[in-house]
Amino acid sequence: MALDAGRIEKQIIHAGIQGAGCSIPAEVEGGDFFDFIPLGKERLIAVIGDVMGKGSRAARHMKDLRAIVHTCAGNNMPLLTMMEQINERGGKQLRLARSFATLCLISYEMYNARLISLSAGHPAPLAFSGNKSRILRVKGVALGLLESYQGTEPDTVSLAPGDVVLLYTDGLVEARNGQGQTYGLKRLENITLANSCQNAIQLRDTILNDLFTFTGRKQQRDDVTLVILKRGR
Amino acid sequence: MSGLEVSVNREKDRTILRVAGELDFSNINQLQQEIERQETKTIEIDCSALQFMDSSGAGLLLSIARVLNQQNRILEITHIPEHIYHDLDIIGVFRVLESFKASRPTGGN
Repeated sequence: MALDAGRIEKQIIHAGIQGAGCSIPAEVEGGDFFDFIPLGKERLIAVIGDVMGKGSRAARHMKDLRAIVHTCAGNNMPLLTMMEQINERGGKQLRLARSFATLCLISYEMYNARLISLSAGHPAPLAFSGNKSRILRVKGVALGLLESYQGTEPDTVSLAPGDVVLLYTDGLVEARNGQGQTYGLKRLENITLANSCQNAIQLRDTILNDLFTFTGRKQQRDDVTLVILKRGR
Repeated sequence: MSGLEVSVNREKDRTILRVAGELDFSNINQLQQEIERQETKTIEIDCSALQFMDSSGAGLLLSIARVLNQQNRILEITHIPEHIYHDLDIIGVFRVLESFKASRPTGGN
C-alpha cells in the first residue's frame, strides 16, 4: 500500500490566521481527524483527534465524533463548555463501544489575537514565537473514559504576527525508521523552529517531507496527523 | 505483525503476567485471553519488558480494570517504562484507574 493512501489535506485562512493540516491513515481509513471550523468573521476553531484503534471501526467512531464536534462548535460556546458537551454526547457512544478518543480543541479570536486550548487525553499543542517554543499546559482525560470531562483549565497564549501553533497526533512523533528509532518531539520542534518563517502550508509540507526522509517512507503502524496554525503578518 | 510475549506466574492470590515486546492493535486479544483465564483476586501486569503500547493496548487495560473492579478484583499495572508511562498519563489512564479504585465495592472476596 502507498504510504499516503487515504491522505487528507485541508487549509484555511480565516480570522487573521492561516491553517493547514494533513492526515495520513496507516490503513485505507483511520481514527485520526482534524478540522477547521470558522465561527462568524472573528473566531476559528481548530480540532484534532485520535480514536482508539485502527481501520474501519475507528473510522466509524471518528466520523460520529466529528459530527458531534461540529454540532457543539456551531453553538459558539466557550471552549470548556464545548469540551464538556462533546464528552457528554460523544463519550457515551465511545464508552458503549468500549473505545475512547483523544481530542485537542483550539479557539482563536481575531479581536485580541488570543489562542485558547484544551485537551482530552491528547498531546498538548506546541507554540512557537521567534526562536522559542513552549508546550501549552493543557491536560485532561480522554473522551469516553469518564462520564464527565476532567482536565486542566484552558491555556491561553497571545499570538504575535508570524507565531505558529502546531497540533499533532502521537503517530507523528512515534513514527519509526528502519532502525526502529522514533521521529520524536525534539526533531518536530527543531524542524518547525528552523522553518517557522514559512506559511502554514509550506511548513506542513516541510515537516511531512522531513518525516518521510526520517522514515524512508516506511509504512507506519499508526495514523499520522499534523495541523499548523499561523498568525498572519 | 508486532511481537508480544506473555509469561504467567501464579502466587497465592495473585497472578503476575509479564508482558514483553509490543502491545498493540494486532495482539491485544492474546493478552485479553490470558487475563480472562486467571481467577485470582489480583492480577498484576508487569510491563518491565514492554517496549511499546498503542491506544488499543491502553483501552484493553482500562476495559479489564473496569470489569475486575466490578468483580471486586484488582488489576495492577507495574514497572511501566517511562515513555509508555508518559503516553498513558497524557490519555488520563491513571486518573481513570484511581476513579475505579475509589468506586470499588468494599468487602467481598
